[in-house]
Amino acid sequence: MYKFVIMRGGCGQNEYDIEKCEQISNKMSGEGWNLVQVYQENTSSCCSTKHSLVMIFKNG
Amino acid sequence: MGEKLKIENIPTSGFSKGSHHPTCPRHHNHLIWYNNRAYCLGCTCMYSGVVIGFLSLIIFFLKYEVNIKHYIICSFALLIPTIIQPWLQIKSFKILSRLCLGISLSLVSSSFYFMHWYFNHNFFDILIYMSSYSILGYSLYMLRKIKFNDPCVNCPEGVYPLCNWNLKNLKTSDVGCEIASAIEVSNGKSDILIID
Repeated sequence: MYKFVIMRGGCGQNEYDIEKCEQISNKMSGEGWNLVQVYQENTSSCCSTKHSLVMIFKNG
Repeated sequence: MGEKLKIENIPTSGFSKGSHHPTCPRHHNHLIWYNNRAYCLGCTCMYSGVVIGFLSLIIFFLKYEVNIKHYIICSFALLIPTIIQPWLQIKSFKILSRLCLGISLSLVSSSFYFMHWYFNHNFFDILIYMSSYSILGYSLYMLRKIKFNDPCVNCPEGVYPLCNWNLKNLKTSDVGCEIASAIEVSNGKSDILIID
C-alpha cells in the first residue's frame, strides 16, 4: 500500500518547508512507512513559480 | 547506507498560462473565464485593481484637491473587503475584494511620491504609514493562510496533483506514470495527506 503526502505551494501560498518534510518523513518512518519517491510540481504564479512536493511512502 | 532519492519533476500540470489553479469545476471560485480561457481570479483582479488605482490617482491628483487624511484612510478602507473575504466565499465578493486590494496597493506604492512631493510630508511620516500598512498586510496574508478555502479538501476526485483531473497528465510521461501506477495500486482509494 502507498501513502501520499503533498506539501503545497501554489498561487498565494508559500513553498514547502524542508524542515517539515524531514519531520513528516521521520514520523512516517516511525509508523513503518518507507519513503520511496519524491516528486516536485511547479505551479506558476504571476511573480514566481511555487513548488509543491509529493512524497510517496510504501508500507513495509 | 540508504539509497539517495532524487527529486523528480511531475510533468506538466495542465494549467493554462495565467490560471494558476486546476481548471476543474471545484476551482470555479478561483477562476475567471474569458474567451474559453481560465485566469486566476485573485491575480487578475488584484493586478487590474493596481492598474485602475494608478490611473485613478493620476486623474484625481490632476483634477481635484486631495487631502492627505483621505488618501491614508482610503488605502486602509480598501482593505476591508479583504478582511471580510475569508468568511464570505462568494465569487462576486471575492472579485470586489481583490480589485479593492489592488487599488489599495497602488495607493501605498505611490505613497512615497505623493506624501513627500505632493503633501510635503517627511520620510518619517511615510515610514510610519508604510510600516502600519505592511503590518496589516502581513496579518491579512497570515489570515488567508489559516482560512484558505482549499477546493481539493474532501474532493471525491482526489487531491491535486494526484487527482483524477490530473491523472491523464501524469500518465503522459515516465515520471508521472510511476505515480499514476502507485495511485492505481491503491485501488483508487489513495491515502493522501495534505500539508500546507
